[in-house]
Amino acid sequence: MADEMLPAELLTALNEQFPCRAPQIRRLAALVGTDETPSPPSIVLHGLEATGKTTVLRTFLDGVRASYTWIACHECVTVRQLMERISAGVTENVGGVDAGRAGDVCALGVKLSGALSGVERKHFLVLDRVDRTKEGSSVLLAALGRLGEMIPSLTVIFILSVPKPRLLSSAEPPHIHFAPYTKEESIKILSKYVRRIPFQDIEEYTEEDAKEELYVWQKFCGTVWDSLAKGTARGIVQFRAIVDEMWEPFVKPIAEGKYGTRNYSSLYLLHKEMFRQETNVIDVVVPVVTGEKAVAKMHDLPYYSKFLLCAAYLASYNPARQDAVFFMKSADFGRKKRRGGATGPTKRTAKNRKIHRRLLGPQAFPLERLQAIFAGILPHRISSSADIQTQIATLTSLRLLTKASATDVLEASTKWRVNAGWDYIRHVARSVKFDIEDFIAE
Amino acid sequence: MLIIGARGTGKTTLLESAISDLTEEHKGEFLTVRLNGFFQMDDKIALREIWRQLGVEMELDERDQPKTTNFADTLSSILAILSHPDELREPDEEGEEPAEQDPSSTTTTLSVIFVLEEFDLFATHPRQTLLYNLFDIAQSRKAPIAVIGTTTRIDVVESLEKRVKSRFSHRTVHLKNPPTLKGFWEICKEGLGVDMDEVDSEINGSSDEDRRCFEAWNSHIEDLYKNDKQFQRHLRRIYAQNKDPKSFFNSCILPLSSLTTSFPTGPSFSLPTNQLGEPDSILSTLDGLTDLELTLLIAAARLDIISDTDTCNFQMAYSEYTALTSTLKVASSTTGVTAGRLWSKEVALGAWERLAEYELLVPAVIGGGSGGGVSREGRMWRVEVGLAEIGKCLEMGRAGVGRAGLGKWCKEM
Repeated sequence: MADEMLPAELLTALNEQFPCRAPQIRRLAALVGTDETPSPPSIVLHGLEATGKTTVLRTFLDGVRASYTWIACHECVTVRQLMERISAGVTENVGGVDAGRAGDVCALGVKLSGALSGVERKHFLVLDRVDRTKEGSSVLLAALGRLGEMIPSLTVIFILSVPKPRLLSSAEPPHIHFAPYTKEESIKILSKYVRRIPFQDIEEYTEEDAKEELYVWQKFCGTVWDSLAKGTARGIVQFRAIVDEMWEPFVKPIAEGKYGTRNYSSLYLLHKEMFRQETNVIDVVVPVVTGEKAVAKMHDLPYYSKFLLCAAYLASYNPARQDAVFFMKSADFGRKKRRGGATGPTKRTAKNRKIHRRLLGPQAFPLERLQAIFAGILPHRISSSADIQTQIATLTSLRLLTKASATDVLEASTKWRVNAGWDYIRHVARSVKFDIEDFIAE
Repeated sequence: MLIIGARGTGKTTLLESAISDLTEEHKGEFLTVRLNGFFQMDDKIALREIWRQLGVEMELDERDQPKTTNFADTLSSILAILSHPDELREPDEEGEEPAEQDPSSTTTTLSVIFVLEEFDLFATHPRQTLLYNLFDIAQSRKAPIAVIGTTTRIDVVESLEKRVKSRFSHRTVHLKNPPTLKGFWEICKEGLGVDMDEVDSEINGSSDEDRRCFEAWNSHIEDLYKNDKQFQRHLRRIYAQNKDPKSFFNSCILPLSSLTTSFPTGPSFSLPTNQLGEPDSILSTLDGLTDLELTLLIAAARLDIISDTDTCNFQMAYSEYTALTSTLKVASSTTGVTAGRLWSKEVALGAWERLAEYELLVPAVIGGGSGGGVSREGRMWRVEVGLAEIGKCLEMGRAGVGRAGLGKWCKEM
């Protein structure tokens, strides 16, 4: 009788601990149940990140005191490692003697059925983040799914973020969906973690204060959700990180006593700018120092290298057939012809919109073209002492140029590609007083 | 012989019940070796597994098992056990598998049934050595074995090599899903109802009250099928979708688990929508996407149509996104609605990569996930969902609350 009472109490406790997950917990209770009730051979838990799949399941299994083995699949690099972990984990938890290791799925099945044959209790094998295995194939997943059918006392629980139809290639196992939290749910969950307002002049913490804090906190969470989290960070973990980061500066006026807790809207107006910025959304290791220009992160390249880089950019982003137009030494002729040539092909009404070349990413080019353009854009004759090939090699080792084909570096057919963005190149071009804008095809 | 049928049509169940019937009739006269294409991924492992299962069943000494020997040795020793032409007797008249006097395992008469589940995967093994040898033994009657394969692929015979195919008996049995709704219901009812004969035989001391309870349950189920509109719709939907009794049973788990033993007083068993069902498609994840992710996805899907390519990179999607959002800004500034914030490139790139993680975008080049020297923004991707599908989802409100406004981007070009 005591056993039957346990789940009901447990359910309420779990529901308190994990708000807004009641349907999922109820389904888990039906599928996992107690030792007396049967469980299906395999269960799939799915939901996007930070929806509580792992935490809820682990707490639930602990709560019903089920015998389970937890395998974090994303930590296993090879299939063999995964198999060995599973077999070692199950034997350890069931309490059998470790008789050798299982290197493949076949041996694993044999070992597990051996280990679990004498056990009356149900055993759960939880494969967390099973879609993140490095080597896993669909056959492997199917085999793992069949383990539960092969061994009666075993239930395999898969946790994954995006379900694929027919993942286990078997008649469908029960799925439990962990739906993403809505705005109300997210705020409700965050209300469990109300942070204090660091009042300066306060003697004792009263219940009144707690109530006020909760009020401000919930309002604040709502604002953050509407302005930032809804757009970019819906995961509860990300949301909480943003809220945590912004809380202290936000309530500073309250703490200093300049604002009361109830005039939230005026406080919001004071901090309006804060919700417009994106600094709290992007994770940065090195904090951005305001005022410092981002372009300062530049290589101090040699003179000819800068021209080489510009030439590489032009070679990557200009179509080769227009090279003659841009880089012929008689500039006047080129300009005229370019205007004439540019109108020609666009006259035809294109059925599909043309994609801007800059958006398509850098195209590959042969080394000879780079050298020809380089000679074309140099304002004067090249000095005989400059070793152009070495500078190209240096640019490659800096990863500003990359090899685009799999052939050897010295082969004539090897293609190259520039690996720097437009802002960088424009900066480089300006530093040598080269008007790169004139040479870019529209 | 081969048993071919879709998933959930009971191939394995049929086979297992036949084998267990045989076991009752001819106890100790045959062995069963069960192989599964999912587990035995190549012939070497399969052979070792055959050896192990034979060893377990024949109670051979562990030490006899070849631990480190090569494929040929194992194969020849198995063949030696299986084929003893001198000892071959006439086939038994009852079973389809003849019996054999196997000298290596004391004096029992033994034949072997090989069950190969997921037979099609065995056909993908290089040179189909295992299949060839098994069929060869079976056909030339060197040893009394029967090979039974189960598979879902209807064209599996075509994938056999010529020399293997010629040794195959070409006996196939097709299992089908029930052709009518009534037939489907018969199966479901069988699983759901309580078998009264079984109750009588198993629970000797079943009181009258229990019996009445079970009978009430059975009639209640029948009643549901006949009268309850909701139940009928549910059943019809599963029947139309996949005809798989298992998904019906799945949908029954929750209502059944909330039943109490005080059933006859208040029979409440209705089926709401299938809560444990598999999601229909990847579109179900749209609900959990953030606004930015969803807009980027729409932008990328628009590009498919606008520029007539099936691949795109982040740069293209971002510029489309910028264009879309700025038109919205103009439109909303007149109406006064503030929606569609323009996010910076860094934030958008993060969202873009999350879409790739959810497999709504797949790399266009195989192995392109690592980039191949191209920057993050320039990598080419293919969008997994069509624009029309997203639009439909938005219209039906399945992609989150308050996003129906995005739907017009899916229509206007």
